[in-house]
Amino acid sequence: MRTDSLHFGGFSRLPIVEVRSAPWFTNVFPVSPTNSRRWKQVLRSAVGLLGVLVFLLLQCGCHTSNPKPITVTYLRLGWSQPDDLPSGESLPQQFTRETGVQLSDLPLPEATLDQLLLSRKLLQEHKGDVFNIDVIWPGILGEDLIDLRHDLAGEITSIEPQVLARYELDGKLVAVPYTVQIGFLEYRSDLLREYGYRHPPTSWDELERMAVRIQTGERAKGKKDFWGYVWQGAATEALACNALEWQAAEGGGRIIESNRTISVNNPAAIRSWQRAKRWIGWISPPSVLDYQEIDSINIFDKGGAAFNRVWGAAPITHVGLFRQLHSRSSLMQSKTGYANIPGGSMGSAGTLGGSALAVSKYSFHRKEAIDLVRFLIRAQIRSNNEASTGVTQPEIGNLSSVSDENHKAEQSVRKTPHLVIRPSSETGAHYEQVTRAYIDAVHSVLTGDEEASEAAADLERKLVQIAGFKTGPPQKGTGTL
Amino acid sequence: MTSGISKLKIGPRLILGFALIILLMLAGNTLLVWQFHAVNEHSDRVSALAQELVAVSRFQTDLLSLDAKLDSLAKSEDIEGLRQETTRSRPVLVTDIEAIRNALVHLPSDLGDSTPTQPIVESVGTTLSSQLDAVVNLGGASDWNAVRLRLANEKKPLETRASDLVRSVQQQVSLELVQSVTQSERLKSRILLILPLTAFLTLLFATLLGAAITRSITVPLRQLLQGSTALAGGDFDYQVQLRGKDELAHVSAVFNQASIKLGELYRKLEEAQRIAHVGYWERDLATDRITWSDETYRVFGLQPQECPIEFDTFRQKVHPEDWEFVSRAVNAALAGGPRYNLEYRVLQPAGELRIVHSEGDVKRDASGRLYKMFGVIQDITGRKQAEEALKRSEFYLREGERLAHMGSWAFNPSGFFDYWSRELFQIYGLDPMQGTPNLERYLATLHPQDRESMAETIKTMIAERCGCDVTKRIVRPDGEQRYIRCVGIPVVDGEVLKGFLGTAMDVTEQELLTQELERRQAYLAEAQKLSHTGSWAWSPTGGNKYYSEECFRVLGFEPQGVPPALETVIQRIHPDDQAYCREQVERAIREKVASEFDYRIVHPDKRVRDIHCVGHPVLDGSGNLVELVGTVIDVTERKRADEERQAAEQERERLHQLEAELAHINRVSTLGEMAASLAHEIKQPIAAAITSANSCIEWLSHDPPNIERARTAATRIDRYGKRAAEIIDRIRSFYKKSHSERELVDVNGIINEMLALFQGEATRYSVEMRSELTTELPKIRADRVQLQQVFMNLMLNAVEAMNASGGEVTVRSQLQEGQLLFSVSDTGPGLPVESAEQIFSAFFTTKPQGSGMGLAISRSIVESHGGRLWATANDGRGATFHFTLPTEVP
Repeated sequence: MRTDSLHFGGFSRLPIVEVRSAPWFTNVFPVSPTNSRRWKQVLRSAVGLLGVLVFLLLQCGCHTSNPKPITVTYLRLGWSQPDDLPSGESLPQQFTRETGVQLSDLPLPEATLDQLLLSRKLLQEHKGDVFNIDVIWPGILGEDLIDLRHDLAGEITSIEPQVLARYELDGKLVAVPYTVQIGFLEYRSDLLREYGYRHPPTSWDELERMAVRIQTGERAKGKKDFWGYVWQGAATEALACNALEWQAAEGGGRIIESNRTISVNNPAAIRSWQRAKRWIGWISPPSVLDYQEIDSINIFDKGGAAFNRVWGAAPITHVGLFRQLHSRSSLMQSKTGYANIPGGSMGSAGTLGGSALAVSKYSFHRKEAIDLVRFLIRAQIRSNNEASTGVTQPEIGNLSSVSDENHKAEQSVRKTPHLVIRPSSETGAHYEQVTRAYIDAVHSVLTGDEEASEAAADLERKLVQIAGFKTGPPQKGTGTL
Repeated sequence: MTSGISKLKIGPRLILGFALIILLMLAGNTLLVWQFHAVNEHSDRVSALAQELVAVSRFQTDLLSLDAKLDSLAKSEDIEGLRQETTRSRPVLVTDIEAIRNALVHLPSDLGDSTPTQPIVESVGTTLSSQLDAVVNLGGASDWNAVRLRLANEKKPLETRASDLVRSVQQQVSLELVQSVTQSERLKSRILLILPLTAFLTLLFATLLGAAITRSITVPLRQLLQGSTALAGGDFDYQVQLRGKDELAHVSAVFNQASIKLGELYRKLEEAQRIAHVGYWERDLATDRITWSDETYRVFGLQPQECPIEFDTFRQKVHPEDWEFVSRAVNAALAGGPRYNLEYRVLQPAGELRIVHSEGDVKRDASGRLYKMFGVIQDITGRKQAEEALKRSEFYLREGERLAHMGSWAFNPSGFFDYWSRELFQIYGLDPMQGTPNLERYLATLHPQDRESMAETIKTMIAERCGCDVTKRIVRPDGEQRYIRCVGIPVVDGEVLKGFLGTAMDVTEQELLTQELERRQAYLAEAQKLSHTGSWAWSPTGGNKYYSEECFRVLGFEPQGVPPALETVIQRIHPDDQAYCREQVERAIREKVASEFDYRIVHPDKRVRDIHCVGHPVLDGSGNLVELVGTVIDVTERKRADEERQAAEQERERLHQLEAELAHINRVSTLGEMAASLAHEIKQPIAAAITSANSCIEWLSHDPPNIERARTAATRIDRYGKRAAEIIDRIRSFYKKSHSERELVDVNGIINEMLALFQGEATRYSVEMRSELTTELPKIRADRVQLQQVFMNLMLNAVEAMNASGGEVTVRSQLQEGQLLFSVSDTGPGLPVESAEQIFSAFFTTKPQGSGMGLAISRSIVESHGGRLWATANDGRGATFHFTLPTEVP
């Protein structure tokens, strides 16, 4: 009955000393050497016990929190939603379901330049993971984006190389094309038919004639606010796209040519701007100078205009198939037709737009971000392929087809129009300044603040200063795709 | 365990124990604080999120109210109101966004990361701003239709987004709240576990440590107690068995050492008594018995006994003559008189007499009654003998000092002499009765010129604790000046300078001798310098041992302390002479002989000097070479002078020959001049001889022949023949080209011969030849032929001077003032006035047929004999030529 041992938590054997009737001191701490050895055991066990205690405390002291789901921030251009798919489930939901990665989907402001400002700010603050960037931005934002060529090697083989080339910066693929857009004309097919027209206008002269006639007729019917043609006259990038289309039709070049000469100060361009100025207050409302895309669509959809300049969509997989982009529910849906932008003396051309998906160099979730890009691009490719095979696309300008009661809201055209490409790849990081100067110049001509020829000369000077290029005549053609 | 603990000292042991306990308590408390901190963190998170929620909610509210206002303003088409409202709401919204941003900054990082609130807010803010711009612009263009449409279509997404944001933040807040509550619950259970466990462990440790430490102290203490008891009992060999490194182990080690030391001390005391011949005694006054220590017995020449002895026994041991004062001293001490302390003699049983010193005290008990006498006794016979020896040795020392004129002293650094030996007073001529002088008085004894330097020396000695060895002059009271050499050394005990010890010696004689020696040395050096003589010494073992200063100079070295090596000197020797010198030196060393040789040395400035070297060996008793000593002399100048002298000698010799040659020529020509006279001279005896021959023949032809007369005639023939032969001989000798031969000659004889020779010539020119010769003329050592030539020249001149007129020639000889004086006077025309001296020049002649050499040769001959030749005009007519010859011709 000297010592006994006790199992304690299964970790250690602790000797327990029993007390006898003898004085406790000599009993507990006997002087003999054998007992002194036991002494050491006692202390060792005590130290062991202390260790166990500390271990236990440390165990419960630790946080047992679950890993939080990763959230990838996606900055999306407001108009670049992919076409709805029959699955009925939204793409972000589908992505979260498949990968477990949460998606924070941010729309960007309306105006392209505002979008650029915000995108750049977020990139610089190292916020945001996936960026939806405009076709004109690679030269401006490319430095802050990662090269996606290897991560999406499989996907980019399906993408039209010419589109892909717009996003290459010094051999680096800074973004993967997501949408391709072309400037289009939408028109009221019912009104055209009512006023005896068999096809939409092919030239600006024709549009003017049609617009005046319909506008006069409609106003006579009591629609005091009816206008012939609405477009985007506010000093935004949309104005640049409109004006470029006007210029291209007259052979006025594309501001800066692909041979890096500044061609904007030419009679054809000046003539085209003067034509547009003539429209204001004649076939277009004075407030068109403050119209952005939303405003012109709002007016058109409300039945307030006969013609509107809009963006049409094209697939990223190949060139040539076009669809209307904005899927919007309006009264006019069944009465709307689509046509190429009217032409001038040198033919017609629609501005090339579109966007691509990029991943920030500073993303904390680069892998998930790339996964999201891959997911979205795959969805888009799939959608494009289905659209090209499954949906019947009526010819544009065929008013009989347009008038088909059963046709879908999404109308597509097979005819390939001419394209005019903004000089973003020629000017690179300077494009923002170039386009601002161009917008300001055109807007000042439209408001009447400046004579067109004067504005063109001023703009030419400014551009020489900004880009450092020489001046030259406009080239044949309107840029390459 | 205990031994492990006792490796530490008691202080650290206790501190360690307490530190462990405090550490345990601290660990427990730290865990508690940690838990509280975790809860606090959670509450912070919740509060940060709540702030964010508030900010987001306010933003949403402001957004909604702005939308409502914009709607109503668009409806009323109030462009001014619209502008005002946008202007007003814009900063409000900016403030809201800023507030959200601030809240986000304060959000814990993990929360901020998961919710992209900020990008949403930024996006909404930017979108809102551009919307407001667009609305105001459209309003400004009065397109209210477009404004309304824009507001209707575009405000919704924004509102949705804002409310989504609010919802997501709310979700986060509630999630955090749930987590907080869970955390608190967990904490509660943890604290319930930690508190009792900590308390229990702390108590357990305190108990175990306390017990162990107490035990580690008490056990050794008990052992120490036993040890000290044993020591008190006189057991010096008892050792406490304690190990470890703590204070108690240290104390026990010290205790053990102390025991050993005590034991040793006890044994040493015994031993010391024996060695020092000191014993103790104890007289019990009650029993009058004496107890002696072992050594006391030995002092008395007895075997150590155990039992005490009677006082009477002691009395018998004391020398009878001393007993009286011994007993008197004992009684006096007992009577309270002077302390018992005396020396007396002890008679040992063997009959040996020992001197002992004994002293003791009386002991009184508490009541003051005498009961015991205790004391020690020491055999001081040896010491007494030593004292005697010391006295004797002191006497010898004093005598030694007196004889060596050397005194000793001890100087105290505080400025006075502790001790002066008697001889020192003697040397300084001071009175020992006045005691040792202090520094001032001591300095006053010095020669005024040495006083300052000596004072300086003493200062230095004290300051630097160094010794001295100086020789200075003192002036004794009686005015006598003496040289004193003073040698002292410092006495330093530890770091303290106790003083200086030293000797002073009268070195006047040595000093004067040294000065004399130095003077001589200087003279020698000067002499060597003047004579370009250097002296040297070389030994087979040490090479060049000594070079005098001049020796360095002669050999072209800079005078310096150490002589150059022999080989270095040989390298200086002219290359042509080196082998020769080497051989000479080697021979001198090998054969131990004196050597003398010349060589040339090339000085560093390329001057070549001739050196004459002389050396001779110094041998020790057994004939070994000890050293070579010698001189080197720069003989360059002397040699040059010798060479010059030799050249001059040769020149003189040549001249001499030339002279002889000339003289011969002169003689021959002179004879030529006199040929007629000489022929007559020779003819005379021959004619006389012929006449006599005729007479002889006649006398012989007589019948009977007159033999007698014939003989006389024949004798005359013989005489005349001889005379003729003589004359011829004389003339021939003139012709002879004889070398100068000095012989004793009778000059008067020569004069007579010459007169005879000139007789014919004189007769021819009607000149009378006279002579006035002194008879006392001594013979002198001279060249006969040369003297004949002189006389012949002078006489011929005289005769020829008068060849036209005739006259008289007088030849005189005199002895005057120790020299011979000759003169030849004529009565001719005399000397040409302008050329009185010129006549002695060579080639000077007044005669048409003369060579002009006669007088010049004559003067040279006279001078070579140490004489002088000169001419004077006579009072009357003619001239006289004089010449002198010393009696001792050089």
